[in-house]
Amino acid sequence: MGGSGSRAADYVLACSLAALSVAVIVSALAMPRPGGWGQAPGLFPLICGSALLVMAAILATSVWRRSPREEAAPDEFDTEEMSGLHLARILIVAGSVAAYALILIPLLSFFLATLVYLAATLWYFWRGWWVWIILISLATTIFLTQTFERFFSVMLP
Amino acid sequence: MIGFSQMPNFIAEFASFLNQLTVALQPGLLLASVVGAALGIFWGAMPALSTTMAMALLIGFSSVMDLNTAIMFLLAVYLGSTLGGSISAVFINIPGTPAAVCTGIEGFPLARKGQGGLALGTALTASLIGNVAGLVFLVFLFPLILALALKIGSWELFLLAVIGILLSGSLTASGQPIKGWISGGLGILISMVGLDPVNAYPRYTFGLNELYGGAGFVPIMIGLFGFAEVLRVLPSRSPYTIPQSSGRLFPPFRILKRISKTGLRSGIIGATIGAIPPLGPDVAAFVCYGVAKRQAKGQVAQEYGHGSLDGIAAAETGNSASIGGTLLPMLAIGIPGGVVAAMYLGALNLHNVVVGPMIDFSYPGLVHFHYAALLVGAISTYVVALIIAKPTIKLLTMPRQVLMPLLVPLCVIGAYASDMTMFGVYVMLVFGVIGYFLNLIGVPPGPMAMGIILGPLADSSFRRAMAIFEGEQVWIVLTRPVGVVLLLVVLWVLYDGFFRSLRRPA
Repeated sequence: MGGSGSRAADYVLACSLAALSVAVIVSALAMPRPGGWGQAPGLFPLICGSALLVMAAILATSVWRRSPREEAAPDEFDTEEMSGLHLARILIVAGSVAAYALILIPLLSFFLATLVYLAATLWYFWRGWWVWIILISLATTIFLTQTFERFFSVMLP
Repeated sequence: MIGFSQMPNFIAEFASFLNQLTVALQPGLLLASVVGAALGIFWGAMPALSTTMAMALLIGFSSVMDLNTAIMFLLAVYLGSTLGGSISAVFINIPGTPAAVCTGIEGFPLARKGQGGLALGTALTASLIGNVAGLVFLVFLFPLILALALKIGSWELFLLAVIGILLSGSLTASGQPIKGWISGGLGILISMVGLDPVNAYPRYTFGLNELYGGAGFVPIMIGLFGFAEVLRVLPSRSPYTIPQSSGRLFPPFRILKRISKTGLRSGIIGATIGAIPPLGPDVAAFVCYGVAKRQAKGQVAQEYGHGSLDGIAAAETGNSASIGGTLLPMLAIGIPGGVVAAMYLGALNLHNVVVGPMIDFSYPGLVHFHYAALLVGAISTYVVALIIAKPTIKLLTMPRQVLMPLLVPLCVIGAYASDMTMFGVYVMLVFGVIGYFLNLIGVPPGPMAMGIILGPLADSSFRRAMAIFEGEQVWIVLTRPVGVVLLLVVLWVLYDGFFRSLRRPA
């Protein structure tokens, strides 16, 4: 799984969590209380927000008590995740999926959008022979549309 | 109330079960079970598709079948899809169902070491052991389990939900339970989006009509586990590889001997948890995994978190054993033990079957036919899974640069199919990014899924308990024995977690 988090990341998490908890508590207090607190819709968010605030404080305390030498060593895969160069590829993946779901599918049909997305992504990340790329993209798209639309009667986007 | 006085009926119960088993072994019904198991495994193994969706879609198919065929078919789908979730968990680190999260934690490291076949084989065998152990347990202890389930009130349900979330947090955030609890707490917050279950007051909907029904569990799950994994693995210039030869599938006898104690214990715990109405395979898997981890000693204890067959056995036996237990309250008292059981109840209604306390009089033998169908379904699922295991392993061990892009359209289909709008796809994308960052800072997504599943139960049970206790002294909670035990468990898990969090990270 992922890394265990650096001191800085843990501090950011604790601070963000504290801010979120305060926002939840404030919004819970603003909710109506028709039959008193026992049945109020804000009761559970209030408890949950308070619990998260306490957890943020505990997390911050545990990070503060932890010396830098006790940082958990990231594995090889996680080290790459932290490099700046890697960020561009993450943005490409996220951007391509967003473009596929938000632009290509509404613009083209699911079939064509999937075909284009798969061919482009396989070409960029896999760099296989172009015939294989087209064959895999086409076979996957046909399999997905036929299985879900025809066999399971699932409406596709 | 059913109690100890009816225990001598065991022999009559068992004879009725054997009688129904001969019916369930008829060729036509056997075929329905095999087809259901195959479809269920296929569905569960697809990273973005859930058991809930499988049941929702295949209930339509079952409506044209006769009652016995429909029962055999749907129970096999349920068993198959629950088991199928472990296949994607082991080989691509994406649990097909929340019940397979623990299997992924222990199975994926084994797959990376080239022992994926053994991990999957252990999961399949443990699942069969769980189904059979749970079934035997149910047949013999039906009255006792029911008596226990009926002692669970709103306060106890609230505590059980809290235990489920806390345990999942403690178990998945290695060395820092606080991060797991934070994840669970965020999950509870997300579950509060939408109309409040008591007053129908819109909470955290931000004026969006789409959020009135909640943020959507299925798209969130797909985002947190599916899209987040694509975001983590695909950009890597040298992503991890899973060896094509994943070793033997059948666990050797010494492994079977080693996991047998864990399997038996998890079978009993899983069946009992399944019998408590809103809890199901997800909670059962976490609790059984947690108990096994605590009980492990020496070398076995050290393997946890790095690929433990014992952990896989505990989680898989637990979630499989709970399936039978889930059906028990539904058939006996008419309360479905979860979303999937509710759908199954709907399927029975399509055949004009009304379940509840009178079921033995209205439909003699139907409860025992369910037991027989579960047993046959468990064996069908095991056989089908063994047959398709090798080709599936070959498919799932292909280079990540090829496999990960192929998962994206599946994620989109799964998110869209949950409510047939593009809103589910947007939710999936947002939670994929959230899941990626959570993973990066060491916050496990599993407890968040548990928080989303159990949050509404905790909320409504707590408020119902507050209404019941209104005007009473706070000490009234100490007059409920089951509640006191559960409260002690909550305090112990909290104490243990705080102690570990403040000590130092693993």
